[in-house]
Amino acid sequence: MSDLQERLRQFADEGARQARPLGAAAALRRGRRRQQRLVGAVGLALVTVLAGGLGVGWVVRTRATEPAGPGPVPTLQSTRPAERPRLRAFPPARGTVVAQGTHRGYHWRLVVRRNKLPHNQVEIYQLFETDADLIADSGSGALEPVTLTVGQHGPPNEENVVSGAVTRQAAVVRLQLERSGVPLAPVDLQAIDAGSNVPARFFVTFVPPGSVLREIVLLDRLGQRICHQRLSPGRLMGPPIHEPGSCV
Amino acid sequence: MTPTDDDFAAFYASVFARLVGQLRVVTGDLQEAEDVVQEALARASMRWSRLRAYDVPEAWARRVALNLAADQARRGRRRLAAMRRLGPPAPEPAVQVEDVALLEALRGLSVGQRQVLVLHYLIGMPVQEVAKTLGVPTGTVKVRLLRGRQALAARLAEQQEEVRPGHE
Repeated sequence: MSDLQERLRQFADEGARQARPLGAAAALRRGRRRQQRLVGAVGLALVTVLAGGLGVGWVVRTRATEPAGPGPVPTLQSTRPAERPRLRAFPPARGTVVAQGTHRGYHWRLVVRRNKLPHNQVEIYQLFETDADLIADSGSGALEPVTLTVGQHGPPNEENVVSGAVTRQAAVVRLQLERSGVPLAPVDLQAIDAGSNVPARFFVTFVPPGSVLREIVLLDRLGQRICHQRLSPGRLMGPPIHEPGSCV
Repeated sequence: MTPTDDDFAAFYASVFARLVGQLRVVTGDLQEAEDVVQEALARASMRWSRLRAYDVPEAWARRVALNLAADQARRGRRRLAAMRRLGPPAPEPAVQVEDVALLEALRGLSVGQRQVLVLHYLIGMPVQEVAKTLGVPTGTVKVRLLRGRQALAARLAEQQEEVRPGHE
């Protein structure tokens, strides 16, 4: 073997002698261009996710404004379940995964299922799950037929998750938030369909710290108001206390 | 250039030729070896502030270059990529007859076999370290070494027979 080893060594040494360096400066330039491309690609992917490509609305910090006038309000698109990437960290879902994504380094998903109860009653149950150790799962149920049910969870003064089920007539779920008692621009979420065997639609969004969900308005596909519901600002864990409204 | 760039330039100057020689065994082509080494060193420049603290930053660059060579071989776009980056091929230096024979023999091996030959026989890495570097089991490294060595010896012996047709 030493002969072969020696021949390999001579061959490599000959290659090293013939090597024509392209220059460290060229390598540095190529490295910087590559880094710029990578940063651009990561930024683009992040914008795509935040733009609602996974069926979730990200409520951005906005300046206090007057309640929305007749002008159009942006609607965040949801995606069909088949188009969503598969998650690896979760066990198989007990129900239908209607929305999922990655947020601040953890995976989340919204799972819905119908539970049969005594006396021929059926409950629609929606569960917000994450694979983060420090964030508890949050679920809420409502008897069919559902017009509106809301689950909200998150520690005080931190980001909250709001998810819920709405009637199938609802095409858009309009969220009215407040900051320090001042209404913010409303945010419209497209209601997510869970398939023909689930008689409800769903929504999920992240509410930034300092903002409070005060009212939900359901709109049909023609933009007509179906119902509205004021919510109590004082409760952050579990279902909000409903104030007078026409949904519940 | 910043002081960090100067530091990288010194590293580049000290390793480029050696890595090209080693990668030439894997790629079988000098230009292609230069190209993968340049790309590996460009990637090294991106994380030089961390790599410079390594005991042997050259090992990191070699590993990247070996992976790039394997990728290019798999994609079958070696020539195209090299030409795209480097423009028209520069005149090849004269190659010795012995080198041509070895080059032909090496081309008969898989990229994986050439990788282990370089790391084991040229760099002098033990089998376990070769396995760790390439991310494959030690058994795979042993098999590749054995088969690569056997194939290389057989091909070189065949070539010797061909250049001595009257010698029976």
